[in-house]
Amino acid sequence: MQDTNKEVGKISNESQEEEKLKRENQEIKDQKISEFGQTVLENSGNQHKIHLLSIIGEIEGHECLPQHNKTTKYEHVLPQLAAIEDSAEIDGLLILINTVGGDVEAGLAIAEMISSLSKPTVSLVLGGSHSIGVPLAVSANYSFIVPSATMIIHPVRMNGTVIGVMQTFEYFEKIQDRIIGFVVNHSKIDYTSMKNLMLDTSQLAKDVGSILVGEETVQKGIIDEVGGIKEALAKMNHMIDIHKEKAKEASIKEEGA
Amino acid sequence: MLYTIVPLERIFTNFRQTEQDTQKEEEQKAEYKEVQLPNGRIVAKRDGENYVIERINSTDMSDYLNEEYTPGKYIKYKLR
Repeated sequence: MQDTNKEVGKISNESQEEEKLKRENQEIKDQKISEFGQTVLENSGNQHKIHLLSIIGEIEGHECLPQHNKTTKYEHVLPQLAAIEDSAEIDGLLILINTVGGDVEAGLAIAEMISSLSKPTVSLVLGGSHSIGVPLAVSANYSFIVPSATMIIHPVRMNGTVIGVMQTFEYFEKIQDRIIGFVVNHSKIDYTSMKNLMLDTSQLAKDVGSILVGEETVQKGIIDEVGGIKEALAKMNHMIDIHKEKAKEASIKEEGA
Repeated sequence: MLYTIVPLERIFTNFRQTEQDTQKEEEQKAEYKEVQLPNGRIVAKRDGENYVIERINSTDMSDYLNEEYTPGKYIKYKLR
């Protein structure tokens, strides 16, 4: 009788141990997940470390858009941009844009973040960069557009209750001026031509505004150059070289002084 | 305020038709989990005991080439 008792105890001990082992194994696996993001990635060759930001779909602001919309969220992008500025490893930022527009303030916030980065930035417009996508495209130090991409520039609209008073119009003008102002400050286009593009009545069937395709955006002075990813990366590397040289010169000067 | 070429009714329309559909969808709603990467995040969808990588969003280009982060890959994850 005692023997059987012992054996039962042995078995339960064994099963306990087995369970413990299982749990430990699981813990190791779990740790792997939590450390999943910490894999060190080797950068190929001695190229510069360039980071990539893709701005796609609608630019989402304070309001969550319904599920069927593809969106770029500012709560994702703004911290990423701050981290890129803060990182000592990252040399430059490449921005891929294919957007239909979106929230004015979120778009301008991202554009201001990009334009105030101290690191070289290059943007590449693919497909389309409409409405609030225009300030986003010009916010980089240098901008590219592929020949088939388009930009639609049109006036801002309001949804909800609109009061038909002078102040409503002035409010709209102010919002529009913020957008035009940003584009004018960060590209070669002047205020009047940008405003004329926005208020053109001859191009769109159901709306006021203009469609610019590839090369046209360069002629108007909004985008710097027509080109693809190859040109954009080449420019990026060139800009990083210059940026690094300047930083070196500055540090030498500082040492001398 | 939205400044976009997409009509607002298109953005805000709820494509679900009846309330029943809504209920059904809510029941079928998948469980998602986010895994942080040094330069971005992975969104994984629950599939039984495991999680399948559904989306990756990172500023580090090499993350997109990393096989471990490829969408469709399983992550083993014990549910607590």
